[in-house]
Amino acid sequence: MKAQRCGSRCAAIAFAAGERLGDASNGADSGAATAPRGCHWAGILVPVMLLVVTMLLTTSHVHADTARITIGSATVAFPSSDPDAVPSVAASENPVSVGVRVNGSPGASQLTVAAGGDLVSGSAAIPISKVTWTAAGTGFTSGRLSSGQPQFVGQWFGKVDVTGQLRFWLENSWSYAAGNYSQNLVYTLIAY
Amino acid sequence: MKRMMVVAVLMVVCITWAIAAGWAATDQQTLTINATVADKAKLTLGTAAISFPDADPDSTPSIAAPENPVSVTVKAHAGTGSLVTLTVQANGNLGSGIDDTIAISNVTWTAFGSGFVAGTMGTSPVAAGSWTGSGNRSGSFSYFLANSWAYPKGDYTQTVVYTLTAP
Repeated sequence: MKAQRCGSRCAAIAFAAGERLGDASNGADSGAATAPRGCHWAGILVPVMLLVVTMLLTTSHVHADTARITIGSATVAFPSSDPDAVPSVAASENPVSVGVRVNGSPGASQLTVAAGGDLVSGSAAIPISKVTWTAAGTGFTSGRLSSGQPQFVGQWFGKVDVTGQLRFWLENSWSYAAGNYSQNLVYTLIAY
Repeated sequence: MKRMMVVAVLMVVCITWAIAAGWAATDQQTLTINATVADKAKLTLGTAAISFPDADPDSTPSIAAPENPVSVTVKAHAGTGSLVTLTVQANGNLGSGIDDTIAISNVTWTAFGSGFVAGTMGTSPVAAGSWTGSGNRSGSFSYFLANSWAYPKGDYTQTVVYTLTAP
């Protein structure tokens, strides 16, 4: 009974909420009984809920699969070397393959790398800026790691399906304390 | 009217969010970097041999080696706070033939450079320098032989061994 009475003043549940809400808020009344207070709030909540559902459905189409990065190795290691004989130490895993794939109707895509800090071994540290990389492959760029801000690794436009190679180097020095150093790098691919 | 405004604002926010979320896609991967720095020690001397020429003990009571100063370079990878040491040890006295000797303790040296120390040669290890932690250090040694009329005539020789330790 209540729903039927609301039906002439309030929205049909799916679509007429705004119009009926205006009727209710302006006090416009064709002479029939005034819509109950609950119908006014239904008029507010229904469109909001519809938009939330729309948003959720939209975001469910935004999935990591539309932008995918694959790295050929989980770790890279720099072996101990005589700084006089090996002033720049190559990572044992060089070259490291990096695959970038972007599907759909993208505009620009960008790959960056952020270091979690310096190379650390207990209380000893080697500045992460001592690590550099050279790049090969379309869109990939060489660079130097930084603990301050993400560094640019590559950029593409439109759909992307490329594989590049990164070679990592550590500047050697007699000033480094003996130890086993480690740090994590996070590669982030963003496709707009 | 107020309700209309609230609904309108909510609609704009939700639409904007939906559109923005639909336009950007992201992915992340982590790569771990490892680096090994092993204990390491490297010692370099500027010459392989020094010689003391013959001299009048009255006019030259202390004979300087012509090779003075002899450069010394000490390079080490060591743990933070670890002690890096340089020592020298003679294999015996200066000897000429079978019976003639000059006590090796008559050979002394002076040192230049941070961490390098002067000393007197001996047949046991003698400190020549010490440092803390990793680094590349350079200095020099100048060698002297105390002269004497008591030395038998001859050509004397001996080997001394420098040892650099980086624990």
